[in-house]
Amino acid sequence: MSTINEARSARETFTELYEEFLPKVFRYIRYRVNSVQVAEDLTSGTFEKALTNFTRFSSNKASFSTWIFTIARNTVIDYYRVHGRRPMVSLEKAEIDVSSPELPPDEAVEKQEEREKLQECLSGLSREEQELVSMKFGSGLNNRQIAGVTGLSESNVGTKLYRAVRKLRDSFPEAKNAQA
Amino acid sequence: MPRHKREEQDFLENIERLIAGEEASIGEDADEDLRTAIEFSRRLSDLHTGPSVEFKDKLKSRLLMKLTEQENAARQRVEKNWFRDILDRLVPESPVWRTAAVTLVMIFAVVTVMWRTGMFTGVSSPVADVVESAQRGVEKGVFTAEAVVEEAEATDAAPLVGLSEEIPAPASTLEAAIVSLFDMQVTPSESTIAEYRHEVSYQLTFSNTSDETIVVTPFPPRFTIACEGTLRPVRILTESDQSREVGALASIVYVFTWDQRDDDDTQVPADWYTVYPGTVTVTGSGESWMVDFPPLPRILVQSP
Repeated sequence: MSTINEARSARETFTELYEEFLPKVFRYIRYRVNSVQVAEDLTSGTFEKALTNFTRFSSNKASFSTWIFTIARNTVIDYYRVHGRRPMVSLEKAEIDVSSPELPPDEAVEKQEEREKLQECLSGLSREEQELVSMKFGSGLNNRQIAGVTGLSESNVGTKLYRAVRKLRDSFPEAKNAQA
Repeated sequence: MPRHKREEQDFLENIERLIAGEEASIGEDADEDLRTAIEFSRRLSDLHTGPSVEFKDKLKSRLLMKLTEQENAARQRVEKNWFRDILDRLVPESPVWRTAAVTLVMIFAVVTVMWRTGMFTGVSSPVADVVESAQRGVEKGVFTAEAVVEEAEATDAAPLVGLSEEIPAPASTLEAAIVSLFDMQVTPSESTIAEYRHEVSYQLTFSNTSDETIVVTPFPPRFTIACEGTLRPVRILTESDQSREVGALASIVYVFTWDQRDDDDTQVPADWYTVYPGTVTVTGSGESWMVDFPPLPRILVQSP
């Protein structure tokens, strides 16, 4: 029966980690790319790589969150290496994001427009700033976890994140109008 | 603490609150820059929602399927290592010895196969006769599963279904005999889609691929049926307390039937199920080996 137990144990462990980290990884990637479809493809790729190398993962060396986000980050970098940076608006507008089905249609459209603008502004940040904002607001990682993935110090993460958010705020159309 | 550091600290504490779903706490004396940065963070944290349920479920089932494939591949690698271990024990590590030993084994295997198929004498060997008669038998229906195997439903009194019978097996190569003394073939070999409340059957052919009589304990082995959705075993079919002798190059056919009921005698819900055969001990020539079998092809119990 040891074979069955071992098989079940590997399945249970992976399933538990999948349930916990899939939403976080998806949201991180979703903040980094401008299409739901691409975000789903890259999330699938991330978890397939994780599964293939699951036996090599050692919790003594790094936490699972550091490990999986390192894979996700590299997957996004590889994606942009192959596809290059493209204009951000066209794809997003083609998709209908039904993330707020409870809102009235006009509010939903307004919300969607705001999302598009934010996403556009986000793409104007440097890659490092985008990563910090995505890990913090997309995945809800704490600064220590972000430091583990990016290689920055914990205090540096905080400083850069504060700077990135203010930069993003200033590039947002409403903020520009207010300044004008 | 310098003012900009204090602001930064204030900002970080507030976004942690926002991410945790709490309200931000901005002091009266906070300047406009900090206040608007925190307000803007609220918008950022609402930017995108999580993955769709459909995507999540599809990816999960694809990954679990991949995990099963990886487990099967690992099992096969272990079997190959077993062959290598035997080679390591029998033959010194020198490349010359290794080459000589492998050459000898191959020559022996080729000569054996040729002799057994009657190529030297022009007269068919006993094994060739057996194969030929087995083929004739199948054509006539003599050795079909219906003819040699009686099926019974899985009940508490007879937890595992089926009665087994020996039938001759085809001759195998020497390598196969060493690598896999006790092999299992499953029919059907692909996943099965079963209607709700309908029995599912697999014909398992256990073959002794060696030239010697072996004893298998226990036979039939234990079978564990696990639900892939919940990852829990739903039914354990207890192993027999009997051993079974299998002659040289002979096979035992066993029909495994599951009535879609769990250990509480309740119909299982629609889902994917996997059947894991238990480990058996094979004894022959005074030695014993533990043999693990791969899971049977998956079963999809359809919705009622």
